[in-house]
Amino acid sequence: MLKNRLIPVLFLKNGYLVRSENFTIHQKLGFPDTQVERYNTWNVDELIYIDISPEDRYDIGRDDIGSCENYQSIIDIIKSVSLRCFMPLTVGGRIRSLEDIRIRMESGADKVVINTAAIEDNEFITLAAKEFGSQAIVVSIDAYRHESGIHEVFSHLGKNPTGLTCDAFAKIAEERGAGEIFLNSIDRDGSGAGYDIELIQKVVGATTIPVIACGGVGNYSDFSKALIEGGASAAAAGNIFHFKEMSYILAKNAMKRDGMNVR
Amino acid sequence: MKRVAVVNCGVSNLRSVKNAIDFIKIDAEIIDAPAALDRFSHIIIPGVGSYKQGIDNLKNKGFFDLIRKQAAKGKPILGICLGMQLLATSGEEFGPVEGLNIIPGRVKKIDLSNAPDHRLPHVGWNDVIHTRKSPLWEGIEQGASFYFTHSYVYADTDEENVIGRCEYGEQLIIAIRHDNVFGVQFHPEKSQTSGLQLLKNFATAC
Repeated sequence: MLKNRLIPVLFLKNGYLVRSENFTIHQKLGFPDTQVERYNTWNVDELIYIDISPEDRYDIGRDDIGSCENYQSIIDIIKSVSLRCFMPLTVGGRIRSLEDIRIRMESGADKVVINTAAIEDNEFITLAAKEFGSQAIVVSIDAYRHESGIHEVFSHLGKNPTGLTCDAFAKIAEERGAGEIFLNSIDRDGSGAGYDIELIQKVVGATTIPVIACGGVGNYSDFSKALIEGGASAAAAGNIFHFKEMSYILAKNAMKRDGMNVR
Repeated sequence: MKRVAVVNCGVSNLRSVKNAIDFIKIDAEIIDAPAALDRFSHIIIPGVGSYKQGIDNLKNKGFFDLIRKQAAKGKPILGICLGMQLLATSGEEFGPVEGLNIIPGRVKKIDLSNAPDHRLPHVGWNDVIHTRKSPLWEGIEQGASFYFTHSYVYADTDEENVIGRCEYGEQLIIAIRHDNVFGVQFHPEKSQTSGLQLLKNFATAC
């Protein structure tokens, strides 16, 4: 039987790993490389790297941390990680063209996440799926829950409202050839208040492709809720995996106790 | 000395396969020119993308006929994911498209009529049952999971060719073998310990 997936997400900003809150507050955590050994030790199901840098600059100034690589770009980071990482690697952020995708795939990414480019031109999803295969194309949806209960899709790192509802765009993404949806809640991001289950249900209900839920995890019991109540195929989180040595293992144990079929 | 050729037929994710084989300290090279195949003891055909594109790439780069010749000569060949599917007689994706026909069968979409709550693509870790003994499974636990990501699957091949299955809506054929030619639907280069062991088995025991 197919197992439920638990996926750590690493947000990179200007070469640093960051923890995120409401898509606006980003606290630096360190270099991405230091995390890789941990993920290998934990035998994680998959890894997702999202580049949320607003500009093309990568900070190479810090030399106060042990061994410090001089990364030029996210491409170098992927190349380095894929040398030691033998689980699926998904990379997103700032992908605007087929060439952007090709470079990342050739550097070691197995799947790519596209967001703004897919919203601005739905055809991009189709072209990408035709070129690299649907299973390699993940469309990400950053959704914000308005007081009215409507979940609106935002582009450009959660800054620009699009007027699209999450389920309507999820349908478009699937129709256009996306292999999976990476669903993030802007208002729950970094809150620790748990996933937005209603958001997950809306997108799961509108599609037949796997949905990866992200945004808001506060404790280990949140993961199963995304799968059982939300109907997601995979549960992802950023912050919770950064601060405790055993967090991934503890998370999996919690999921097992909840009756989930996990590795 | 074992030397593995990783066929570059224009598909991405070549690097992952090469990285994995490097990691287990087997000599490997990504090769662009079909003529080079003779110098290698083993051949791996990786694959991501559609069936039609996979075949077109093989033909355009001159690999199509040469791989068939190498198979006939007895060289150990391992097809991974799309690479496994290309070994079939034909594929239905954007097809029908004629395959390498090294292990007769056809490639069709996974049938989920018995499991309407399941989604496609089949993505994630699934338990692999070894239905037949094979050097590929050496040192790998029965039921150990591997990473899958596909919507199409092998079908209508002789039961004797089937060495592994997994369950997803139906009993999927996910590992095949005919003489010196092997195919796995999952990604050993993405399946951590079990995957690395399988690659090692292919390179050293097949």
